[in-house]
Amino acid sequence: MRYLLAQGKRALRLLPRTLAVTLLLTLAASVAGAAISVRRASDASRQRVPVGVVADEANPYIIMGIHALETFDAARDEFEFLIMEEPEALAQLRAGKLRAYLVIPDDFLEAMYTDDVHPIRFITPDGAPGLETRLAAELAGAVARLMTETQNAQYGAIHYVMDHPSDMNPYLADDELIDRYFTLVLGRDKLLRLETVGVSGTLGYAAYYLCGFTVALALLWGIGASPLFSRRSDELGLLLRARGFGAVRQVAGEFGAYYALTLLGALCAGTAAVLLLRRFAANIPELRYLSPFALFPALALTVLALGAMQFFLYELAPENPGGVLLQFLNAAAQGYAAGCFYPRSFFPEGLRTLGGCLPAGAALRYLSGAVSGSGGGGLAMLGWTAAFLALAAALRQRRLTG
Amino acid sequence: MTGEIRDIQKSYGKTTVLRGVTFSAERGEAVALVGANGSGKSTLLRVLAGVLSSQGGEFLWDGVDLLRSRPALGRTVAYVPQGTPLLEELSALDNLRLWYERDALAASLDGGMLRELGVQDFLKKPVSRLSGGMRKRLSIGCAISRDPQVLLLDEPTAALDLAARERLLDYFAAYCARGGTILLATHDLRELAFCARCCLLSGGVVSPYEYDGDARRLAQALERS
Repeated sequence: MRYLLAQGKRALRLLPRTLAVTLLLTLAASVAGAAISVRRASDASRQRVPVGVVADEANPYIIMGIHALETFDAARDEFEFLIMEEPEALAQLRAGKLRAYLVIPDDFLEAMYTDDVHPIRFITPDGAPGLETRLAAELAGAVARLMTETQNAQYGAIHYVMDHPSDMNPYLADDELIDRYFTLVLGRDKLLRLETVGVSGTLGYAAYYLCGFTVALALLWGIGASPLFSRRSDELGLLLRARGFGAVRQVAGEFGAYYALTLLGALCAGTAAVLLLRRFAANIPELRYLSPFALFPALALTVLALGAMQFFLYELAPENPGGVLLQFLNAAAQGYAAGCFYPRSFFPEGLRTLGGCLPAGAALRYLSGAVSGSGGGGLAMLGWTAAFLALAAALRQRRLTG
Repeated sequence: MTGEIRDIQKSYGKTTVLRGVTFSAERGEAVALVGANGSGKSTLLRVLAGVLSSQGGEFLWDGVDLLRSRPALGRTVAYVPQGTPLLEELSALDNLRLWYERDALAASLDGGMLRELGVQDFLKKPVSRLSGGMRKRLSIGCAISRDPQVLLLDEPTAALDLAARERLLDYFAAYCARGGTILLATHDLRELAFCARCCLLSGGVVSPYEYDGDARRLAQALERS
């Protein structure tokens, strides 16, 4: 207990420095993440996301629309559209071969002629945030482009009728077309309806990035905590061991104090962030009705697992600058692979699987589940914690006994 | 005879460091362990302090094998490593609190061994701002919290200035005068002169060495070893 209190006192003394370093690093990581996202967005050679399309293949207009999406618009760099039946699309979505699929109702076009909108259904699996937003933007862009091009064709048709007189009144026909365009343009936001397969665990972009930012912050916290764990010698550990205070108790005392402090910081920062976001960023629907206290258990477990990982890494490389460098590389690599800076759902299959298996990936999935209300993943967090602390204790024991 | 170290053996993997170290120490006596760098002086002290386990041997004190009885070892022996076993960010008092019960600390600071060490002069200062001598005194202060009969010191005055060194040697003399026994690993001639006996550790075994103040002869003996 005395050792725990002493370590707690140390942690409190180092808190301001740890906090400052973490905030600076997180800011830097956010800027770097944004830069990477912008670069990826402009990179035409990246892998396209497979999206299924369930539509009437006999309808030439539907096929033409899909072709337009694939070729005329920026979507050609983002998505690969595959026409199929809905059961097959659902099976492929569940197998992870498709990232999402669209269902275009058979009467989609007919409904438009009658100034009605039968929305396209967009089905995503759990945990594919961002896709629906991107696709909606692409679809809206494609429709707008098609209408602009059609408008040009319409002017061309009027000039043609004027140059080649006939019984048809071009101005009346034009008025009718304009009416329809207004209907289309104004009803464009109703074209798409998002659905998810099974229990919805999907977060919107903003909520997803909020979770990613939280995990990144927890990862970078380990760098700021370096003065707490870095050491040049094991003399104190040796002396404690000589008094019967072995490696396991030492690790428990040191990690306990670090965890208590980190938890306190995380809960304060988490509450403040949720309250501020609810006040000023009302466009995060997941937070609108969520009590900040509801996230406390999830934050506590996330910080526990990631803190244990950082503790283990410092046990692996206790001296500086090696220790700090290892923490930084770990935070950067895991943060990226886990999808903290860019949604993992856009990654190639292999990287996506790897990212999900890493502690940071598991933490992000767990936290996302807690925010979306789908839950799950808590056991994985506890498992990682136990594994890292056991490894840290084994390393400490090995070092103390030569 | 009060303390007897018998046939201590220690290996790291296939490397044997101690091949059967045997010597004795009387109550109130200071014994110096000398040897070349890497000869195993620190390892021997760590084995005797119970920090490292040995592959064989005994550390008998008043007939009790301390290496087989950890509670007795904890009560009897205190070990002060070469480095600083202190929490740098905390004050001297906070560091002492880690090792002492509240009442025992107050008593020791009031007129006990801690006062003798002079730690009350810098109790509120953080360790990071203490001089080398102060740190060493504090390290010893932490180690002796259980009023031990044997003090194991690993190069206790290394890198200390003259005044700090003299102050520590005065404390060691007082400790021995009260009946305490000191085993210290050293390269320092002042420490050697302070000790009643000297043991030369070489090739994993200990042999008695008569130090007569001739540093050149000692250096030659170490070179030969």
